Amino acid sequence: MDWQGQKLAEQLMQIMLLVSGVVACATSYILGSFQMMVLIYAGGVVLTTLITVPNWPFFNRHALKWLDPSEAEKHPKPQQSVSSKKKPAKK
Amino acid sequence: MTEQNSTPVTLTKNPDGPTKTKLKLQERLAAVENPAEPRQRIQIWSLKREKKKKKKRKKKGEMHSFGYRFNALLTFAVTILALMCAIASLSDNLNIPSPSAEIQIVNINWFQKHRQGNDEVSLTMNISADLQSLFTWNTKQVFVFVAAEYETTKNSLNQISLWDAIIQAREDARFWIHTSNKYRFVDQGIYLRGKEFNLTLHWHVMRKTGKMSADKIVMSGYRFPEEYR
Repeated sequence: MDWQGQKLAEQLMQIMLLVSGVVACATSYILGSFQMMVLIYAGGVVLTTLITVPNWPFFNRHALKWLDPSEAEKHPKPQQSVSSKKKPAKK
Repeated sequence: MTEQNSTPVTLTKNPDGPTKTKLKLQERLAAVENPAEPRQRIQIWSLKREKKKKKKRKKKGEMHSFGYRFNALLTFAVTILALMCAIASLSDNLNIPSPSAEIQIVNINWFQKHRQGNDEVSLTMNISADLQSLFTWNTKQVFVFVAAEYETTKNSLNQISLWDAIIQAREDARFWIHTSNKYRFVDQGIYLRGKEFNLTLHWHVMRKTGKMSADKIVMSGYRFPEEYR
C-alpha cells in the first residue's frame, strides 16, 4: 500500500464507519428496534473491514519512485557529527 | 546439484595432479573464464534468496500493514458503537410517557389477627394498566409491582408488596388482571382495622443502554373493614 493508498484507506474507514453508525441509529430509531441498529452497524463494520483492511490494488496506484543507487552515490549524505557540538537549530 | 558434483570429477581426472593451492588458482581462473562455474552459481542463487528474504521483511515491518489497519478499524468501530449507545440512551429523554393504572379491590377474602399479634389480610384485586408508553426502542423490560402503603403509629411508612410482574414486550404492557395478593399482606402490629391505605403501582424501566429509571402512580381512598372476618 503506497502513501496515498494509506490516506485513502484511513479516510474511507472513518467515513464508512461514521455513515453506517448514523444510518443504523436513524433507521432503527424510526423503526423502533434496537436490534436493527446493532445488525446494521455490524454489517457496516464487516463491509468496511473488507474494503479497507486488505491490500487492494486500488490502494497501490501511486508507487513511490526511488532514486537509482548510482544517482544516490553522486550526492552523498552530508556528515553532521564532526562540525558542531551544538544541536543545529530546528524550526 | 549435478554441476556441483562435477568438480570432484575433474579432480579424479589427473590423479597425480595439482596441489591444493594450485587447484584453487585453477578454480579461480576457471571461474573468470566460465561464469557458469558452480561456485558462482551458488553465490548468485544465495543472493537471490537474500533478496527474497529482504522483501518478506519489508512486508512484515510495513507501518500500515494489515494488522495496523485492522486495529485502527476496530478501535474506531468500538468508539462509534459507544457513541451510538450514548445517543440511544439520550434519545429516551425525547419520550414522555403517559401511563395509566386502575386498581379495584373486589373482595377482602379474610382479615385476621395472628396469635403473635400481627394483622394479616387477603384481598382480591382487579389491576388494569396501560404502560405501553414506557416502551421505547431502548427498553429491555419493565418491572411493575403493586404496593400497599399506609401510616401507623409504629411506622411512618409501611410498604407491602402485593403483586409484581416483569413485562418484556410493548404488547404485554397493556394488561388487565384479576388476582388475589401474590405476597402475604401482614402488618407489623394490629393497626389495620379501619385503616385507610394507598395502593401504588411502581415500575422500574430497564433500558438496553442507559440508566434504569423508576416511577409510580399512587391510588388512594382504600379502607380496611372495621372488624376481623
